[in-house]
Amino acid sequence: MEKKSRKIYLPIHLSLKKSVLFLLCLFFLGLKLTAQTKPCTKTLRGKVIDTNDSMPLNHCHIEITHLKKSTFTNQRGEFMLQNICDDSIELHVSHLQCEHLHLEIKFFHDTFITIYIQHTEIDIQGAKISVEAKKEIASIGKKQLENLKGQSISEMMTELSGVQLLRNGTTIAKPVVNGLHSNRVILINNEIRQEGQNWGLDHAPEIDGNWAHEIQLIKGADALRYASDGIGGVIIVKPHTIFREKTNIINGERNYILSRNGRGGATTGFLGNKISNKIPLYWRFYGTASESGNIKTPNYFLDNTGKIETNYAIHLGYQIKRLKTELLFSHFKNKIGIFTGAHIGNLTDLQNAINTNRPIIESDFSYRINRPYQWVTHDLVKFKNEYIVNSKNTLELILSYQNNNRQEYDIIRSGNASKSPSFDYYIKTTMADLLWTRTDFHRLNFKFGGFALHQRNAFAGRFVIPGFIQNGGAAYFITSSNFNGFKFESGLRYDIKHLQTYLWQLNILNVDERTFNNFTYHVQIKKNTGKHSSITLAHNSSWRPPAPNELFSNGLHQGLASIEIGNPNLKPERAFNNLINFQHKGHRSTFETEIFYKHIFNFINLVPDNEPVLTIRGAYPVFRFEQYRAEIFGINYLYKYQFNKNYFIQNTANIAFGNNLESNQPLNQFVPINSKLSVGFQKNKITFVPNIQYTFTQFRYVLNSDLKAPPKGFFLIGAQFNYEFKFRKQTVNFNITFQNLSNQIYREYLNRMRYFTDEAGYNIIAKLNIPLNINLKNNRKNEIKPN
Amino acid sequence: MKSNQIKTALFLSFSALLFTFNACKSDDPKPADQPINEGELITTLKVELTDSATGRVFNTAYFKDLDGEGGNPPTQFDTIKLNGNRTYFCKVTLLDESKTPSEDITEEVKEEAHEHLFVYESSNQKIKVSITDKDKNNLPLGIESKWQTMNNLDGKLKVILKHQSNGIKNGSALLGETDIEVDFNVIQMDK
Repeated sequence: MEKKSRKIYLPIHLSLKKSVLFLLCLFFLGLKLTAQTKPCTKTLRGKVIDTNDSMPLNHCHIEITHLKKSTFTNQRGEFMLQNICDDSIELHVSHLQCEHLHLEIKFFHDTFITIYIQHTEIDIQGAKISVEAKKEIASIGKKQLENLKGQSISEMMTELSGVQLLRNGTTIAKPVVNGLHSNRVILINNEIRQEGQNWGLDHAPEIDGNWAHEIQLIKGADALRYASDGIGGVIIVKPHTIFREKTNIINGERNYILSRNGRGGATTGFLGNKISNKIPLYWRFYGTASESGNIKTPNYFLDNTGKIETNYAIHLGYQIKRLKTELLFSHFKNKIGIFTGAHIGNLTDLQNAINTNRPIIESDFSYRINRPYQWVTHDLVKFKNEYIVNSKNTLELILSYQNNNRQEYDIIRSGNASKSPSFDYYIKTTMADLLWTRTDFHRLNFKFGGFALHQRNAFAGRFVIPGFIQNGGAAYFITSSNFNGFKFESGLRYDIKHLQTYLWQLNILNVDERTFNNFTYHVQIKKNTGKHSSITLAHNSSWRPPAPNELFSNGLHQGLASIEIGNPNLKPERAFNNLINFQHKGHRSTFETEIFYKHIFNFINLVPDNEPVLTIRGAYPVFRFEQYRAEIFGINYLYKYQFNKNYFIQNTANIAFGNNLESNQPLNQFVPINSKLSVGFQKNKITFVPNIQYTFTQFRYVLNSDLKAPPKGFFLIGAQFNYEFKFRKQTVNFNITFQNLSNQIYREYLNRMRYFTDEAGYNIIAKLNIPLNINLKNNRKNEIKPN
Repeated sequence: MKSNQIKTALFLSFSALLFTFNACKSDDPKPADQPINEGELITTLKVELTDSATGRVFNTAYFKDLDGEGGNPPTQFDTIKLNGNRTYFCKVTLLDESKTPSEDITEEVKEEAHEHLFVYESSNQKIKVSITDKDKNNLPLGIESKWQTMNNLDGKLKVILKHQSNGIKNGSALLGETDIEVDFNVIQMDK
């Protein structure tokens, strides 16, 4: 007897989120090592279980497609297939009342597998599963997200290898993926591309991370389904599938979160249920409310840094045989105070603010949010239809509408003046996505789809970017296949985008129209180099047309006292990206490293101009959008060693460099190197993981190009404490997260507030996660009887 | 029982749809609409200097940037012309000329005098400026001032308006946010 690993591929057409080709690596006990001569002696045994009621399914048809070998499950849901020679088999599982599923199984010995079927949702488990092994490095799973609740979506994303933060104060953050951010990082929430005013450096994504079931950085060809312009990366935020809700039980969860710094409190949770087996209507309701006050640095409070957020969502699903329909409505709303000391009139004020070590405006603790503040709402409606034509073909249609409203309130001169925002931006996006998924077409799986977009942007108040109407269309084709231990992925996408901009200049309307069209592609080969390791080579190219702010912005940036001037002559960016990924997931050690090199033509960036602009508030430095050839390269790595079931050690690092290849200078405002070391202690239901993180000084920047030199490197000490206990038959999870335990005084290079204030001091966040299971069975029986 | 559940389902779907349509109000601006800016814009600074000896206006200098910061460059930027060894009474006026009729922002500043302070800086110290008006807390305001000139005064004179909200005004010129900062050229007429 020897421990062996198995790999089972989830067929694409069966996973609910068609977005990702995901590979599950399952580790379980093998039974017997077979000789290399491959005698036809292997036996596959297994059991089929319906997840709805956890009962075995009898009369389920199990077929090894290419061997024409088949059998049915017995009363206990069990089956057995004997005399198999091949190491890799394709299993076709079908049942009258369930959907068909295709499994590809790597199979070296006699094996027992358990197959869970529930409508089209499937889950496969070997005799023994290691949950850790299932987790891909490029994804944050449910368990990990539970411990991150109460933090912003961007902060959660930093758990992904290669993701860092661009901050604007303590409460506004957006993800930086391999050194790139904003327009170059695409966020997919609930299968819908998030469309907001995402060009702004101080505009955080309007997504409630508390409802996420998984957060994933897409590495494969599937990214093409969502975008042609994900030059930095595409991050997916997935909620749990609605079709997992059960009858007779209202299933849900409650979370209570308290944080020391900012004296914040939050509650978030959801409730869901399937009405009945006869009426397959699934519903789920999500809600979040949170509030926090002024944040404290080690030495002082930051004036006006409170935050209020209230979000809710209603998700409905209905299944009629092979047709699954979903309707989702979600509403996101927050109000974020902006640190008063950062609101400055002109360059002299900025210099004064920078030259003082401590903010001039002293403050105490308060929950009050005064001007300046941001008020942001985001509404999403999604209507999705998925039709399973047969075991190999699926059609999907997703229609969506998003309305994003961003209002910013500056400090105003007189209290009795207009209460209206200083600027008020509306962006409304309607999207349609049609997808055909075909599996097992001459050993090839493919997706073929079309996409259309209509977007309108309008504003009132201060000019930052003009009003525009954007129409776009795209077609994409993505394939994946397995040949002799190689896994190939490739994709091609064609996009056409039309942008019509309305510019008002001294009461005259100028309409600018431009059309962009081009191809995006991705090719990738993955080879299993051993039973526990694999190597992936990928090459892709993406492009991004210049955004309206890059073309037409012309105005003052209050936060940094600079004037940004757009450039109507900008051409689209074209990026070529190469990467090598090596993974090893052994019994004790997990190692993953990724080396990437991006070459970007016409890279659009802000470049300082020598001539300042004269205004009534004084002379301002000018930054113009220019293009040049740039390169970005680096390594992200993770190493984990599990000494035994009680101890582990983990080290991660993100290293990225960026260069302007025309001036041979480094890119400014680029992520510094950072590395984190965690040590884990696990015993029974208690987990304690202290960690230490070091962020290096960014030594690569253009001299004299910044108002203040990059801050010094710093250590941060943190810890996670987790305790799981039973309370009234429920597994309750209690978590305490410690941040900046040593109360380190530091400033982060990629925080725009670093000119004015230190980062937040120590924080303790306590979280309680209580699952909710209201059993309706008894009540319902009582209800049914009178009928 | 069954029909009730279907009704519930329909009700839930329709309420979700209703939410949607409520979310897109018709009074939102349209992409091609001319943007309405109700914000405070100061387009014009006028410096009016009256000769104390004659009581007549001796010189008026303007700084005008009709579309605010950024965009088009200032349309008018005058030089202040004065005689040496004289005393002038100065009065500044702030206007928003992007609107019709133009708005006098000086009135607003007067109303909020306890949160504002004009500061005058002569590059070569050849013009001695003393503020003559005060706010309700008896601190200087600076809409009106007295300028005493010396000989060879060619140089620069900077007019600054500081917005010192939340009770921080204490007479210091360093505090607050800068609303105005215009650095006029000054030349002497009677050289």
